[in-house]
Amino acid sequence: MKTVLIDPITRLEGHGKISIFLDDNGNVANAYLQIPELRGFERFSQGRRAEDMPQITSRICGVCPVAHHMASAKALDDAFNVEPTSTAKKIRELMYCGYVIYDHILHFYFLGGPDFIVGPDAPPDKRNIFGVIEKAGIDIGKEVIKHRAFGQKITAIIGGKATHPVCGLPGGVSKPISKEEQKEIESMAESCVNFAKLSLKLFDDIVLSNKEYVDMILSDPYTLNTYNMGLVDENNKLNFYDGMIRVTDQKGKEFLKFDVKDYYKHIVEHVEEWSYVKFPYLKKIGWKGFKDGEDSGIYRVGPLGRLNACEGMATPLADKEYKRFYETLGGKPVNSTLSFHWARLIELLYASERALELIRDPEITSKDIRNPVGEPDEGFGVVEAARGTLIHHYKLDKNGLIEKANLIVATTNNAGAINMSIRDAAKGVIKNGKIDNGLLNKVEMAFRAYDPCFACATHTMPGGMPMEIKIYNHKGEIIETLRQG
Amino acid sequence: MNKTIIIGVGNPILGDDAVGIEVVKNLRNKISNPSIDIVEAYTGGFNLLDMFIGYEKAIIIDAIVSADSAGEVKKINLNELPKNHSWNPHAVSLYEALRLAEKLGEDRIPKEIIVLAVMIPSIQLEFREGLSSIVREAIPKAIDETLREVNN
Repeated sequence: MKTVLIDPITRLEGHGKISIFLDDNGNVANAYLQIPELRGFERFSQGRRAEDMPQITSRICGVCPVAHHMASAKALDDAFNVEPTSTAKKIRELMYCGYVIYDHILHFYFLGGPDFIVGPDAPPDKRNIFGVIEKAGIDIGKEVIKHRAFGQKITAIIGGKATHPVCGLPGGVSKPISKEEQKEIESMAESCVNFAKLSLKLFDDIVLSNKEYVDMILSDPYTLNTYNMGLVDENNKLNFYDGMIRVTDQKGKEFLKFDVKDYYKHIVEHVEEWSYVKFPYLKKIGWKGFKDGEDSGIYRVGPLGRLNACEGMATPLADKEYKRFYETLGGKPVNSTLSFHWARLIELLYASERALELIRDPEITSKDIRNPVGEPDEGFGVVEAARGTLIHHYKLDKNGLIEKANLIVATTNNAGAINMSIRDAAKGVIKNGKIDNGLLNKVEMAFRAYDPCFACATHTMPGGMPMEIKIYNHKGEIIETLRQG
Repeated sequence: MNKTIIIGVGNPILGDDAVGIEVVKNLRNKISNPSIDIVEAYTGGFNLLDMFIGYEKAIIIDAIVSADSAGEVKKINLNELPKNHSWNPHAVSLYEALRLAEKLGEDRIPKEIIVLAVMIPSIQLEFREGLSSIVREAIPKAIDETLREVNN
């Protein structure tokens, strides 16, 4: 048995492992991704004051607190039977754009994009921001840092705190935007629009102009014909903050469109005994195992899911890029997992343009930021987290305490698809018992494209937990263990 | 801007993971020097860099999983911090963020960055408030170590 140990020192986010099972010809029969799931949130929230939920749920994840905060605030609007004022909605959406800006920048330049910009065969210690700088220049690095900080600053100005916002309240937000803040945000948003354009150009120059990369994007191991899901506005344009949940089919046609209140009529969670994570699927289609196609209820969320689930972007530059995306990759829907990266950059442009629109809206500095709350009952909230659809659902008692809380987080929505993408990537590099050296990289690229969040929140420092792949022969014996940090 | 910042890192609702937060909460009664900032960070990596940039000295207190040495307090060298992408693909490590800041010519990185780790017995996967007794008993030692580093 061979063990490849590349860098044992990694940040520990929980145990995780991938098991690949070969058939008697030595080809991939099945692959399983096992990740820990943080437990007990429902019990933890019972009996707490509902208005504390936006703060409590934002602690669930140290990386994306804004998404939880917002889904929670929206669930409280609904639970207290109050509609936020028009200005409050705009302020919330603006803060949310700031979050999408920094989160997408972080993923593209630090986490997922390097696999691509630096190259799929590059060693792991090059597939990071330093490799990107080597390839694209140090000035890009400076721009990356600057604009990530701008996204963060926008959320901090509005949210009241750098990482964990405190502004969302049932019926609105806690403080208005001042004229000075408006000016500051406007100049940052303007700069982000330009940076997003620059990022798309970089993607053009390094990825799309390279036929080998484009072929890889479109190759079978990285293709899944699943349903797609995302929030859309009244014109079926993509929206991060609000709207209806829309599902499109393998031909790009609308299959379902529903209000978050009806989520449990359309989404069911399948349980596998080997996994802590549940696998959501479309109730109308049913669970048919880890399969794609129109007969399988598995769907995808996140940047690619959203682009496929909508009919365009509500801002001009992003909409142009949206059209180019489909023209270049062979029409709608695009089912190539690796095109998540391109989709993410188009969303970065949209979030930047939308932030600029909102901050220039004369209403944005209005002081009319909160409506009075009504009687408590049940509430549903939905947003598009950077990595996909996020749903919060609370039942309150008459004193406004939490009776029941249920969350469906973005990565869970993608769990079935991620598992299949790992299996298919492995199929591409394991042939007749021969295991290609690029296995670790290829598998890593497949799941990283989704920007998954495994065990939201555990940020306990490392004892050393690299990605581990165990390969089993048809008798169930381990024939190889590979590890990557 | 003050010269020294003490950052307690942790998730306040994830059991022993909260120990860094608990340490700095206790420190607030023990440090009266107004030129020292004490903050709680429910986050990691890049966001920590944002917090301590511009200070001369940063002391970070966090939890590390170590079944064998649970309850101990250790000083960790920066080069022992995680270097690569984590298995969780969406968090950037503090090490990576720091190296990048250096490379881009950032001149406000603290001259001294000290990481104090409180060893906790296991990975925390269940939402709850409160520390296990072995970790709670380590708090006075972590406070002493922090005060020693402050005065050093």
